[in-house]
Amino acid sequence: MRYFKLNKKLTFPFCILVIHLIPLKSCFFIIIVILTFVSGSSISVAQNQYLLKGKITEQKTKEPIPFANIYDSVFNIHSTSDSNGYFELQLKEAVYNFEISSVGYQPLYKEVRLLKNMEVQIQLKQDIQLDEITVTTEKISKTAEVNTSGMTTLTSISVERLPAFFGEKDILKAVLLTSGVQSGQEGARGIFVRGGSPDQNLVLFHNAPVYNVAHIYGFLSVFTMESLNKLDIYKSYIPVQYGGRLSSVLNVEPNFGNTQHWKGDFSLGAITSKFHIEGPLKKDRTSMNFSIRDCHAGLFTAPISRRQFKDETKNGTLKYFFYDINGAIQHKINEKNTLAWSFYAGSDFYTFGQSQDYPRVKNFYREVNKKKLTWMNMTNSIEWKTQLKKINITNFYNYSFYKLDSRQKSETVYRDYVKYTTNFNNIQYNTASKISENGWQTIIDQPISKIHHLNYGAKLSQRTFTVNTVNIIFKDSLGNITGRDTFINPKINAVDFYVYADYLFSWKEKLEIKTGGQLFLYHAKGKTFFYPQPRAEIIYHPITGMSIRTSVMRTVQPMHLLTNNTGDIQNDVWVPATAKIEPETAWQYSGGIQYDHPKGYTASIDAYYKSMHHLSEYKYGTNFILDKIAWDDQLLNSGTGRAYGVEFFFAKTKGQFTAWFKYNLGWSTRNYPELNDGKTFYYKYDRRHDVSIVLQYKLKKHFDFSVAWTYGTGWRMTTPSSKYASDNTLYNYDEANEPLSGNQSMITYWNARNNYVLPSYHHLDIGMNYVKKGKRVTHQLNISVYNVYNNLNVFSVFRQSDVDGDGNRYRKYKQLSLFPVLPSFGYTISFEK
Amino acid sequence: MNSLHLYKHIEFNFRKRKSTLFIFCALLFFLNGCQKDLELKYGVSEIKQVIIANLSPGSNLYVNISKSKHPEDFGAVNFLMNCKVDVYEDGVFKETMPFILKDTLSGFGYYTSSFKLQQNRTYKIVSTHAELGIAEATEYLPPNPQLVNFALIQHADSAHPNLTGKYIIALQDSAGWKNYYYFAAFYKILKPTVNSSGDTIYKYDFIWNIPSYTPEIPNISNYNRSFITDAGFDGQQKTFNFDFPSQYNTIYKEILLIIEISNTGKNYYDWNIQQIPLGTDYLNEGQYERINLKSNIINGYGHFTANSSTYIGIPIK
Repeated sequence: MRYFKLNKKLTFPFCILVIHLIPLKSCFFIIIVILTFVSGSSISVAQNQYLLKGKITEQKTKEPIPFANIYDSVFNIHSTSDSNGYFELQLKEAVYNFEISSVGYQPLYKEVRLLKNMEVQIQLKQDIQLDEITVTTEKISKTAEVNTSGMTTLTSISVERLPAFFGEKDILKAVLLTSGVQSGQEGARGIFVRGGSPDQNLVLFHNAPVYNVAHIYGFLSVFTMESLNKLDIYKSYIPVQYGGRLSSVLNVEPNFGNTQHWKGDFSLGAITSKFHIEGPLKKDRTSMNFSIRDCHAGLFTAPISRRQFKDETKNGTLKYFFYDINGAIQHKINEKNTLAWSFYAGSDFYTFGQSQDYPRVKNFYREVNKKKLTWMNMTNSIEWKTQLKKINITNFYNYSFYKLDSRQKSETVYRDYVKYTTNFNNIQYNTASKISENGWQTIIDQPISKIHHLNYGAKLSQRTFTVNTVNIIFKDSLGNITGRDTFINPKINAVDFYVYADYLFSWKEKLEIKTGGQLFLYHAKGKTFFYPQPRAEIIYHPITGMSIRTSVMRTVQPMHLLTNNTGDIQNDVWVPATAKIEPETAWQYSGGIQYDHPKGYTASIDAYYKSMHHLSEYKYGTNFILDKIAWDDQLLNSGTGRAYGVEFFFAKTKGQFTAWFKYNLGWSTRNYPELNDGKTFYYKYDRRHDVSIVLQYKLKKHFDFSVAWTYGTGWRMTTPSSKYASDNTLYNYDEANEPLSGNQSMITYWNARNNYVLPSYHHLDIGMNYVKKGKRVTHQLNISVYNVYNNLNVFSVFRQSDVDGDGNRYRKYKQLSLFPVLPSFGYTISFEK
Repeated sequence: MNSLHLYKHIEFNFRKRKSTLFIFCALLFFLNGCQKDLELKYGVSEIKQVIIANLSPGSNLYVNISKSKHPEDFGAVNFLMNCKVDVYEDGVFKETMPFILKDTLSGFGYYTSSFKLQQNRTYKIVSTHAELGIAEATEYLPPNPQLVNFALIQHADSAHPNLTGKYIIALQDSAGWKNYYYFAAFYKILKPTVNSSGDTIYKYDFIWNIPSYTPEIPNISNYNRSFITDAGFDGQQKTFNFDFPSQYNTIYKEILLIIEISNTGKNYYDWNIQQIPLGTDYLNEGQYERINLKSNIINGYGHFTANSSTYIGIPIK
């Protein structure tokens, strides 16, 4: 015992000190040594104790509940179930009062008299009201939940009561309200995590990467609420089983359907309609879930656009549609083997056509422009879970596909009535980019004892990139092809393979140390890269409910998304890392403190520092689509970035009134030797302050209300700082070889890239749900108002020339905003058998 | 349609994309009321001297100096005639140059030297202004390129647009110093014009925009000058085969094809090469985002450059 006490005093502060002071390479080794030392001592203490084993399952479906919390405040015991719902505790003889809880389930309080080795079965109820009202809106309040490691979990329940947008609730909208995550600007696609760019976030749907998660300029995600069970956001310590992105992982777990009874719903919103059904194909063994969503915005945009064009004496129309289809099946072969399959397909269609005639006395001119943009996502995953003794093995096969196809047509007709000539010009240019990915992964979860836990495995991914195939066609007035110009970048195959291991050491519910890493191999275009990626995390619980955490990790990203991040998706091209454009790498150090009060209050503060290398950017002046140059010769890969900041989070998770609040204070910079005179500049979405407040209140059993307010520092743009006379001021030379006065053309000077911060982004949204529960049918009405006080946030900035009262020409900047105050409603009818 | 025309056409349509995007947003979300003026307070950088000068052998030095201004100031160029401009040759002070006013209305003029510039010399100017401080710049005036051989293989013919002109140039690189070259083709034409009394008269003019193409110097922007450094020449003889399109018209009375081979100073090369791929002045749009022109003017804008050219004239008509 003396030996143990000595350890206790010395080890905790020392471990934390190690992370901060010792160089990383040494740190990794030292942590291993310390772990070995400490664990040896702990095992000796564990003698003469009893083993409490158990399994936590969902009461109705009997499905295991992974990572449920097991907590006793008197003995300060804090543990979690494994991925199959099992847990084991070595405890002294005593009477324990456990609180067993998990996100989306009602907590259960259970007394256990531990007088011998015991095995218990624990069943949790889904988190619904006890008054037999089982529709989703009757669920008690839930918020985003942050675990002791800083991982944020959002369930469909926590999103249910947020204000809707165009009658549609969206999980990525909820993600933006969580700590450390922000949107770029109004209309920006993707999310920005801790100063990183959108492509640095790995979005997984049932372990399959989703390459474009946005519909309608990022206002809706591809995930319908019915298709998912929950979403986990990892941004501090990314578990070693995930790889291939720098900043974060968003892991979306599909909804495999209810194993006990059938239910479904149909909803109609302002621009979308949905149908969903789920239920048991065979009770307790096989369940399925299917949902389909259709966006019918084009039904409104077509007539409105036609009228608007007509007002401008033009002919034209604009249509926009999208759809999402989700399917999932899970089959329990036996107690130890489960098979699951999920599928997602979604596509967006945007068509625009415009023509204008210019009839004159002597001639006639017509100009026609048409554009069609289609982008498509698809994922397909097969999962096989098996258990060999205490070892849980999960195998995944996944397929992902993303395609962006653009077709543009331009036609001009000029008739000269005097010369009797007709000049016809027709040109079509089509571009296409694709990425397809096949992946296989094995995850092995091996609890060794109460103290030691191993997680290891391997992942192999093969990707094929088609980068901007350009096909240009010329036609005559009869439609015959008169010319063709094609530029095809050869397809690129890229393979990455990594093995990983993660060791978890838990000591007396006081200390958790995770340490491990990936050995990451990447090969493309004849070049192989190798990156060891160490990761470590220490969590210390000094008192009940409090956790102090610190982590370090290295990440690598073998692909880049070339984008301008604003609404025009046409510039988005995924490209692989090659010998010329090396993979991006990053180191991130973070630490924080969190307190979870038993009455349902959570508060946390986290700080982070991230350095990024080999970031990519277009070379100045390149036109990625039109220049017939190999794409990797048009990019810079010399970028470095730094991001650091502090995140504050507070949540009240229990009771009729729930709330959460986040505040991020952050800095994000970039440096390219070739840009901005080699000086460091702020990232376009360097957002100094980012605030979200969400308040939810449940009034009796029919009504609930929510209010969400979002505030962020404006995005950055580059404004000119001065201008000066160009060479043309001296135009040519006279016969005496003396300069002549030329025109007054000017050269613009920018003193820095992204030197101007645009007005802040903020909006207040409110929502109300009314639920009427019948015997088998439930009606739900949602009324929401987006941007209640009608703040016009900046979507885009453009210049416009004007003339003042004295006839002087001047230019002014104008902003385009997308969303003024927007009331919307949604109606859902649900049935249950 | 030739490729240049084609890509310009496409570029034009791609720029239309921007307005398409706006229309899309406006229509989709009923946003006619969602545009508003934006008050931006920018352009507060220091006002500096703008020096524009190019050194040519055998010519006087002409230096034009003006004042930079706010980016939204659309007034005329403010030429500075009250600077004290000293010129140095190989580090030795030569003189303070007087200002010569050429246009009283605009204030256009230049500071000029009383001596002729010579090759293989380094020139420096120091301009002192009471408000804007001291700006200075230095440039080396190189000798003419050592032309070993030139041959026009084929005339470009406007009657047959696919028939490009071809010429061969051989240079002797000098190992002693770093050389920067450019090659250009242009036409000097005698062009018919109608004078004020309605008579047709002929005046000399130039057709400048004739891009040349050779595998050693990619010219994706169809620029009329092809720049290259002597990296890899190693002081040896170097031969280039150029193609160029026809740009002349048979209505001209005289047509003279001129091939220019120039040896430039480093600053001339840097100043020009960085301007070739310039895109349109877009706002924060990825690859279109502008970066600044680098120059050799200390505490000022503009350029102080030098080049020595050899011209070969081939009469066509």
